[in-house]
Amino acid sequence: MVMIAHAQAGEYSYGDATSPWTRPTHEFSECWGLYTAAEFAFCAQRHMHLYGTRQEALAEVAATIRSNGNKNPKACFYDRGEVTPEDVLASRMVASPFHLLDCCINSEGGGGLILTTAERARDLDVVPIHILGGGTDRQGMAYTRAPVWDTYGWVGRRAAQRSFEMAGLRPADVDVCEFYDPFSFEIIRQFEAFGFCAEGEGGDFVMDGRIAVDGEFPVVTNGGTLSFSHAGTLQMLQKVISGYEQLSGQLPVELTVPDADVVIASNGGSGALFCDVMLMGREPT
Amino acid sequence: MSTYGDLDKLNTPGLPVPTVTDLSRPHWEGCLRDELLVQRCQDCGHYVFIPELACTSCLSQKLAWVASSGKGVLYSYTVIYRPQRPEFDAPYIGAIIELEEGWHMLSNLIECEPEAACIGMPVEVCFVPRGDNLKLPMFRPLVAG
Repeated sequence: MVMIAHAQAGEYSYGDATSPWTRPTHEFSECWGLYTAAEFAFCAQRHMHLYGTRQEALAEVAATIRSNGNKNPKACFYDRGEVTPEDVLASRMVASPFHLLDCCINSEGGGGLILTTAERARDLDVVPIHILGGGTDRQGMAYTRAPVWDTYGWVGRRAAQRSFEMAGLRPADVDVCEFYDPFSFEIIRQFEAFGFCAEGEGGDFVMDGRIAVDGEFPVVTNGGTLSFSHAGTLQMLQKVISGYEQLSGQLPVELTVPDADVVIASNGGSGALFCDVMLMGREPT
Repeated sequence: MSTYGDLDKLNTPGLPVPTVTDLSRPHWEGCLRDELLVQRCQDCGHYVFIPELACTSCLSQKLAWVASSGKGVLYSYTVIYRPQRPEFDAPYIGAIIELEEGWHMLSNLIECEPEAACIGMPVEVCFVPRGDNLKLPMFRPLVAG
């Protein structure tokens, strides 16, 4: 049996400088005034240039996820009100193309999960969820070299391919996408990198309700790092926890995807040069 | 930070000064001479940046410091309105530069209005003092001719 847990408190502030973990002190990145949002913005900006991805698509993602958090009593931003794409576009610019509401929040918090065998899990007083597949994709130390889109833009693709191969599944079999959401654009990127749509089509793919809880591919149903919590390393584990809660019926009914059997969870992202993927299911495949 | 060409604000006290390492020292010393130096693999010809002990393409340890032309294009950028820390004079432009030798580096685009920045625009290096003993390689729009 393995317990994986993390918690963070006392480290963040809304001071004059950006949060300490967003500004690595490396000699070839800090001096330019960069921080995490700016590093991820390079990737979004390049994608918009190459494919014509629209600011409205980023806003649609942020509004959808933040509105999910608004409905989750456990979320930091619970009951703050529905967020519309217009709200996102009207919020102040942080690092173009990211407005404030395109960016994840700061919070304190903790969480964990327990891994065990299916046999043992059956004897526990919980609903066990099965790990169907997983993979990692690491492409070097982040926030030191430039996040060049042509080199790193599809980071996570091989992790997703390995996950789907292990599980014997395809993207079309996924019911819920608990993608890592440090910035709105990353959802668009992951739909492309993981094979849900073709390269360059992610911006259109997320429109028209497709990523809402009642859509074809609901994303980040607990509110994610945009409105649920962002606490140290926990926010990455949180994707698996949210997937667990979704499949075991522990999210509020308005955030529960009916008859969901398969969840994909991920962490990392283009600006971070790594991306890990896990597939989880109600039944083993 | 001087997006608009006010060079004084690019060296405000409190702005982060790179910590030079033995590995990176030739690059920073080159900047003091207004030269942009990059490592190049003597076996496969790959340009390596940031500084490494071995080639990131073929793992050869035969890396030599060579001079870049300092000319390139804006590969991607972000106009930063929320400064990393208050000493940065926002808005300023974070940039990924693609040098004409084909390698990339992080930097700032200066002497350029935010609305004028566009991916693919030609740029050239210029060296801007930071701290007491360093110069940073920043980039500005390349004026034709």
